Amino acid sequence: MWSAILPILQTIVFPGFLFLIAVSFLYEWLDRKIYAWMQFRAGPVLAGPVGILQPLADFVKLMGKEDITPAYADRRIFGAVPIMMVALIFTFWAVVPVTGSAGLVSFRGDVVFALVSMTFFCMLVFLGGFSSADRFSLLGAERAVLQLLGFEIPLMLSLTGVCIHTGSLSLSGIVSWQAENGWTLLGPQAIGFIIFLVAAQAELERIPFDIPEAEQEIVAGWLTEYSGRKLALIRLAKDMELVFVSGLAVALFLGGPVGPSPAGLEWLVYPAYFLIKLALVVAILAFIRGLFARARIDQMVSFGLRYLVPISLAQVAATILWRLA
Amino acid sequence: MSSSYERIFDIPIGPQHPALKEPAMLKLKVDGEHVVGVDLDVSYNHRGIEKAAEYRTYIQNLYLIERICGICNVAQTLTYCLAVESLHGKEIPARARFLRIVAEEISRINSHLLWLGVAAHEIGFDTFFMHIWLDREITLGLMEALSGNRITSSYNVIGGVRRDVTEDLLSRIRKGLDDLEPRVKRYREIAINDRSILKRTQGVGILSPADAAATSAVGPTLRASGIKSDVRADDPYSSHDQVPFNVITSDGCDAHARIIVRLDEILESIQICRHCISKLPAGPILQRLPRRAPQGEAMSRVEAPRGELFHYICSDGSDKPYRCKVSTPTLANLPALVRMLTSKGRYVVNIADVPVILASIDPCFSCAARVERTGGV
Amino acid sequence: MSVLRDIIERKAKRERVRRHSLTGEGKVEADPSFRGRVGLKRELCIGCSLCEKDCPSAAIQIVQDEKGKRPVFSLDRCMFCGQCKESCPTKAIYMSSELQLPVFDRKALEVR
Ligand code: SF4
Ligand code: SF4
Repeated sequence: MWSAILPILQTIVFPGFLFLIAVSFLYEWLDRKIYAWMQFRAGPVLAGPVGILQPLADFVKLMGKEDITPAYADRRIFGAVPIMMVALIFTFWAVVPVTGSAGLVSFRGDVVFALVSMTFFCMLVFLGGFSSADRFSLLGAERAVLQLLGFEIPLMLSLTGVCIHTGSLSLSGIVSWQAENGWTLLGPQAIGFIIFLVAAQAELERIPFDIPEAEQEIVAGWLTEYSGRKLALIRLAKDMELVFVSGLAVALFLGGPVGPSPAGLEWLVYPAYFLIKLALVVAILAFIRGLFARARIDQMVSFGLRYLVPISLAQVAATILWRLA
Repeated sequence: MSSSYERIFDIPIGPQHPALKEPAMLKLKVDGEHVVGVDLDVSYNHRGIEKAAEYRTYIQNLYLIERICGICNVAQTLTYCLAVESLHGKEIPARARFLRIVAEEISRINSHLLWLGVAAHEIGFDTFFMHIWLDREITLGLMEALSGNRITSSYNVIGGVRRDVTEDLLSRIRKGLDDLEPRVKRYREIAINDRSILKRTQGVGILSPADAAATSAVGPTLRASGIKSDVRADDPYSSHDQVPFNVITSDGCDAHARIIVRLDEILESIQICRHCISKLPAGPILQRLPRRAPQGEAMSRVEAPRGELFHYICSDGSDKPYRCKVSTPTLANLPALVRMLTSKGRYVVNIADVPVILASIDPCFSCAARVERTGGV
Repeated sequence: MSVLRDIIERKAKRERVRRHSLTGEGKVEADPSFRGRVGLKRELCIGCSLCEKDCPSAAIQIVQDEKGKRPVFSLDRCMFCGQCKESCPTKAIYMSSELQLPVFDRKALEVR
């Protein structure tokens, strides 16, 4: 009986959906606080202690707002995109290791599976913008796809380096390799880590790569026509994506949740490790957000292809040589 | 059939758009991400101030004119007061002239810092924006201590200035300027060195000296194209001829040059303020003038933070002006703006550059809305 | 990236955010020279109605009270320009630095 219920509980409560939602609200708050700290602002302060409930409050407020679908929009796709986004992240979250070396689901090649999520997400962005039937949305969607061109290849290459280094194509393999070899991955793969973070920033559409929703240029980009419940879901999906991508970075480069722990307490200590490392990655991403001006789309793509690709190629080559030697 | 016609796409920026702080309409014709044409309409906020001025006395008009523009309110009242004073044919006391310069330069610093923050925001650099506006608090505090309000100062009145300064206040102003100067120097450093700012502003919104002269641009927009023109130097008013200062120019001709010119102007304004405070003459601050202005016409011009500001007043001898005409710097800069926004030959304007270019002339569309539009600009 | 250096230097100098609020701790105070709420020293007023004539926003009304003519200010129309204070020949009008004037009843904005 218990063995039948446990997987369901795991999927729905911990480390599944509810946990993901709670964590993503928490880290949105952290992100906003750090960003505000850099700008000499206070950040959220009113909802809950030190404003920690603000993301939840925003979500609830947006949920209650009027939901408008433009008259000429493709209603079905327009309405489906927010739900699909949330569903997509829920699905892919299953492979991220939270409580141990393996996630809820673990199979050979789940690194590739996780990687595909980013492309899917971008396609959903495109669909959302395209179906809105609005000039600004269309431009935003166009930019999102162009941006994908810029960061996807370096992102994949940076993961390739890790996979070759550890000789494994599964997240659990990579995490346990790091546990066995004393977390020595970050040293040789440091460049890969940096490239992953930069690409993650682009994937998450945050400054300096918030080009598809550049407020001053194209209103809200592909998000322009979304409002009310749909916008709330998209915002939630974006928060969850932040946690998902950071979770991937933790598993791939920072050794995942596994670490020294008193015997029998792994179920408590490992998630704590995970959350701390996650906070570290989110903090780095928030810092990047505060330090740059927004790039232009042509600058972004040429930066990706001209600098990131050769650097990550060199990294991969170096890793291969190291493996052969 | 694929003609170039089909690829051109209209993007409306305005009347409401996050890049615009005021209602204006820019219809961009874009080809992909490139702007190939622009149609500009700024008369969404015609407030009829000039007509309203004909129904109010000279004293009441002071506060009406002040509200043409919130940020350059000191420049607006200054120009108006100069015009009325020249109707009367009276000079105002020396101390008042120097105090007017102090107020004018503090408000110039204030306006330039505001603009710098907005420009940073337009290129998506919100951290820079917040930092600058935090330091802008200093000048706002000085303005409040000097005139009694942070923005709408009501400092210049016909015949002089409203309030005198005490020794205590002068040392406060000095301290404020001392605090501000290193900050502005730091911002200048950042604006020159930060790669992400350079990437977004260099080579963007190019206005060649010839174009600048042909479109009769004014203010920092003109000076950033390397043309030395400043009303304070060319046609000195209120004792500007007794205050040494440099006219800042730059040869960059692009948005980045406009940032640097404005930052340098802030530093120059700080020096002017310091000079005026140390050389402040003693004496009265107000020359009382009669309520009725003698019959006649008067014009005055002032270097407002955004460029040359011009007022014309016609009097029929009563206590109300017969006609009042205002020409704001933004209006003079609009033809230059259109030229900057149009791709020509190898000069390409991206949609992403439009907010930067727009912001680079420091537009104040509501001030400029004194004309109704008939056809394109 | 040069912004980073600036942030670190300013944080090292322990510069921090100042919290503002309307009441209690961190209450916003205006400079003593602030042009706030208008008031009248009744004993000085001679009822010349110059202030009414010069007020740009018609916020002043001259009424009759037991001692003669006197102005009444409507703060909901007043824009705190200070012209009335300037025009008054006997300096009967003053401006306090009080800057928070929210009320529930419009009557409370009439300064008698
Ligand atoms: S402060 Fe100005 S607006 Fe207010 S009552 Fe006096 S003159 Fe009128
Ligand atoms: S101007 Fe002064 S004296 Fe005259 S009515 Fe007004 S308050 Fe009274």
